[in-house]
Amino acid sequence: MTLMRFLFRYIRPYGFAYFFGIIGMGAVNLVLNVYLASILGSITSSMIRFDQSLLIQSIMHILWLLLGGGLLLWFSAITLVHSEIKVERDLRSDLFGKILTIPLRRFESLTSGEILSRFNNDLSETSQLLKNSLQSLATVLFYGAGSCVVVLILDWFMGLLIIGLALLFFVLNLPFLKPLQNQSQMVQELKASFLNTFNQLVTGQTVLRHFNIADWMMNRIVKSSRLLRSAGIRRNTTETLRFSFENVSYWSVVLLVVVGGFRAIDDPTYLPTLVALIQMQNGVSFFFTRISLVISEIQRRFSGVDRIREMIEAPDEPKRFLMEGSPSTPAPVSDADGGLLVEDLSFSYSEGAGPTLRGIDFRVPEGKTAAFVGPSGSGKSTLFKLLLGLYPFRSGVIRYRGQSIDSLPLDQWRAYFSYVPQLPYLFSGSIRDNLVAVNPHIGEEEIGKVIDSANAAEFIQELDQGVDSELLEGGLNLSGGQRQRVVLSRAFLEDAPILLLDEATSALDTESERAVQEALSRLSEGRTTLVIAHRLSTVRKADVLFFLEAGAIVESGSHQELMKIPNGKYRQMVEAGILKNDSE
Amino acid sequence: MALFAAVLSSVANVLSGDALARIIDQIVAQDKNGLVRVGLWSLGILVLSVLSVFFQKYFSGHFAERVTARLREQASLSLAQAKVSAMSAHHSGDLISRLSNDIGLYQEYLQTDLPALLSGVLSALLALAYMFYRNWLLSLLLLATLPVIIIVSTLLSQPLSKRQEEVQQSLARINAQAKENVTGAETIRALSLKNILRERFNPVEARWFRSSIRAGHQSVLLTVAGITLSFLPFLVVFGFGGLQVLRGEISVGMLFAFIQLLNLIAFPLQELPVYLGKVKAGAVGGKRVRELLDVQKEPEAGVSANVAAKPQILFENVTFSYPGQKTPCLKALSFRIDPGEKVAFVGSSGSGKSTVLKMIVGDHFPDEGRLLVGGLPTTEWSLPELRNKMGIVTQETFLFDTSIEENVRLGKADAEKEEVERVLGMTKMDTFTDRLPEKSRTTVGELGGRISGGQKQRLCLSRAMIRKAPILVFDEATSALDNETERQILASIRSEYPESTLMMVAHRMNAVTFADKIFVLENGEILEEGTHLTLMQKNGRYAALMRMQTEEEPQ
Repeated sequence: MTLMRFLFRYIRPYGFAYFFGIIGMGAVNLVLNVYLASILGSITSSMIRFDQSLLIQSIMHILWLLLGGGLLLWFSAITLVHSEIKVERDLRSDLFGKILTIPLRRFESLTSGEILSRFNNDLSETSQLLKNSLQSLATVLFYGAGSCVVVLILDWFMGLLIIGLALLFFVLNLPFLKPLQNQSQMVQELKASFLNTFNQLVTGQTVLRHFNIADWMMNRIVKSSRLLRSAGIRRNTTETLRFSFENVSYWSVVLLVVVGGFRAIDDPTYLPTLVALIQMQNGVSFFFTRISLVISEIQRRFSGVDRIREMIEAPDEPKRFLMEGSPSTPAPVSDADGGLLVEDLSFSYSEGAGPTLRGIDFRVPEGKTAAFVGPSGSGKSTLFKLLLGLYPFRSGVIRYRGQSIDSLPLDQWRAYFSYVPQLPYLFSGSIRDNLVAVNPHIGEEEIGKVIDSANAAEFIQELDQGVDSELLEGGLNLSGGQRQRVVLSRAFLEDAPILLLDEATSALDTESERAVQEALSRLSEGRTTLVIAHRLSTVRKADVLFFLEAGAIVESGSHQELMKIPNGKYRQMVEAGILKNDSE
Repeated sequence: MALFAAVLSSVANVLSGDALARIIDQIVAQDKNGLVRVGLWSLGILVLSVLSVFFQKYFSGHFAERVTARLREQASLSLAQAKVSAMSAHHSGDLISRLSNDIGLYQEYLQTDLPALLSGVLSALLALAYMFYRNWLLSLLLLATLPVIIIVSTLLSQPLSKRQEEVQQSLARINAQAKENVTGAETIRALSLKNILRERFNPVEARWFRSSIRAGHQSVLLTVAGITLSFLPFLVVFGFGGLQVLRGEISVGMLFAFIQLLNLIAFPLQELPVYLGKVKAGAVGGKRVRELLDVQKEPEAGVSANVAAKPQILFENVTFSYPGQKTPCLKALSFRIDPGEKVAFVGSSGSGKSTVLKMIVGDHFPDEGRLLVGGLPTTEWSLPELRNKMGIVTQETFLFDTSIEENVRLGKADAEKEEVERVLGMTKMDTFTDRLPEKSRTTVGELGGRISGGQKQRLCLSRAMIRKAPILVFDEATSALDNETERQILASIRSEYPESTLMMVAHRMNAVTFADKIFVLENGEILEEGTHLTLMQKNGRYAALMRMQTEEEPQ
């Protein structure tokens, strides 16, 4: 199975220790119990024959056994623990790295919740598998199966009886499993359904009050609750029946003692054997009761392992941008025009969905500012993502200074761009860390310069530790405007030839607003800038405007030109007051 | 019933040990008949045990389910009848948690943990009593070994839980980094940050590794020590007890019985801390759910006023502050709305407009002054009756997880299908429902993202309008609709319900110009009053608010 091969790849570096540990624990368990059984037998003999010295000897044997066995057990357990943790570490490390290198597309098909679930739950399931389940399996096989062998050796008749009884109760258990599983699932579903109804009660409380329909709601609640109750009672009954059978099996020991007892009466030397058999019987019933549990546990955990395998084996982002469907041949460096050129760009997020961008054509000359406007969902943000090479597209050309997007390694292509998104991303660490991430060789002076340019120097100086102040997750201990300015400092630091700016739509406090706007003007001055505009002042100042609707550019020109179009879409948008005014 | 069964099963457990003793003695005594006799006796004990365990589990399960179900229903009822202020004190997530997690713990407690604890303790006590009765010396010695076990395991488990916490903490840090990398996936790639972030991971990972190894060591030590120590009592029994057998003070069988009974004591003892923890958690869970039963309810009493079919609404010097707020939201507000008037309330956010509507609807009551509807103060109204006279649409659009038709019918329980269709037509939702395969029987939940905010609003409007109530209360009820639809709906209200009083909070020009009278609120007081034209001419606050909506046109 591919899963076993996958796991084995990670176990292999520590294979010897791991398997030694697992097998060791199972084997020690078996040996300890066998020895114990025989010693119990001799103790019984000693009591029957009134042999004090034998008794004392046996007790001493137990002590040595415990000591030796304990040490062996400890040793194998430690070995197992060490190797298991190392395997887990390797898995986690690879998974962590994967999150950083998989193409952005994967984050569309898997929600962030699912990805994190793999990292948390599935990984812990895998470590549980390695730590417990596989070890349980070994114990069940060695101790359990081993006990079966031993009882047969001690006395084939009784041995068969013991195994037969255990097997009987195992089989009697089986018809309960499926119905129990179904009933448990039913209970879970009904619980969820009740919670859903209850949630409606809570969130719709106002409506219930205003329309006097509390009774209607309560009807649904009671119905749901009663269904759940009945399902719970049904399941409990099934479980109780099953448990009773298990209980009976526990008592089968008594039966064995009686049966064996008859023989022991005829042959007193048999009694010690009988005692040993009773002791080993524990192992036999252990085997039969646990084997199905362990197997289903392992099966369950395997699904977690599979999800991890899927992620680890997923392909990384290509080193060089790949056009979908066609081999990557670097386009010739044809037009010596500088600037950004986009020709006939089309893209859809998935096969079935409609195109998000259709035949996009535009050019932004060096140093000029182009603003993109249009209703939400028209594809503006998607355009930026494609410019950054975050998604593969099927058709179209993206060129900057004559170089095509697939003619360079992706890292180099992205270095042409400075991306300032709507919601700034800062990772936890100090402000300095966030800046240094872009350029590790940066000096103090340089840091000071960029902070200043971004109008962030003032507030950073007021922080306790200045540039070394720690940021909480996502930079939450700073205000929205302050976060923006840290991100802008980063953009200043990158000093990339093209600025991609996605204007924020939410209002900042006026002080921040002005500071951010100023810093942005400074940043885009003389730089080729593409901005997704939400403010009136931005579109007014832009050299060229592109109005996107349903993935295509439907109007382009300057603000004045577009306002002159009678019933123009751009003009309608402006008149409807959709773009933000600068606050007084 | 369950308790009785529990007692029986405990007795049966002890008797089983005794039975074992007898069996072995008969074997030793080589008495075949005796063996048969004792064998049958054991069989009887077996039957007793199985039956008692069965009944105990069955009845406690039954009991637990019934009690839990009743608690669920009572808590829900209490919340359904709760006062506005009482509900706002509880976050919805907290309520959900109580009716899922807490009640789950409580049920576990009733069904499994509590019975297990009781029967475990009972069995242990009975076993102990029996053992003492048979051989007090040996029992005493055995008892002496138990504290040793407990002390050692406690000593070893404390550092373990500390270590485990360290592991959890380091894991949390790792997960925080992973989460950040997922959230910032776009930026990480756009700025090529992956190498730096990989480096940041290494020290955190190393810390996890170290603490895991340490915890692992401690855990192994605990396990091995636990296993070896658990043999201590057995050693005592076989050692000392064996000697006693040799001296004839105790029979061989009894010795084995002691071993058997020891399990009855030792096992619960080991599990005791776990069970105590679970029992405590369960009791706490139950308490948290029962707290919901004490939530303050809305006042039930009230007169069903013999009001005119067209009630007047009168605010007399109403002052009101939200609980916990110092500044009053409404200050000595006085105004009158005559039956049939269409009135709009405007003002900047925080001016008190929504509060005015909430008070009319009876969600809150004046601290000072009186609010009269149809000549009767709201404090004296029977709230259900008051609300029966109103069709209310709040800012939050809420639809229930049932069919569109039923959602609209919530406004009027006995509405005919034609009435529903008609009102859907008025809100222009008929085209929407016609396009659905199951038309108006489609469940709202199934629609998911296919139903927009504006469409939800229109369904809420339909729900309110189907009531044909004398008073309509709309709080931003058309905010998500485009101008044209909004205009049409308001127009149809005027034509279909000419005699209904309409009070709305609105922003947009369309809605406001529709009104016969406009009240401009600021800081809980009425600043201006009049029609759209008169207020624009005044060139005061109202005019300023209207101008802010449109851009200054270059002349």
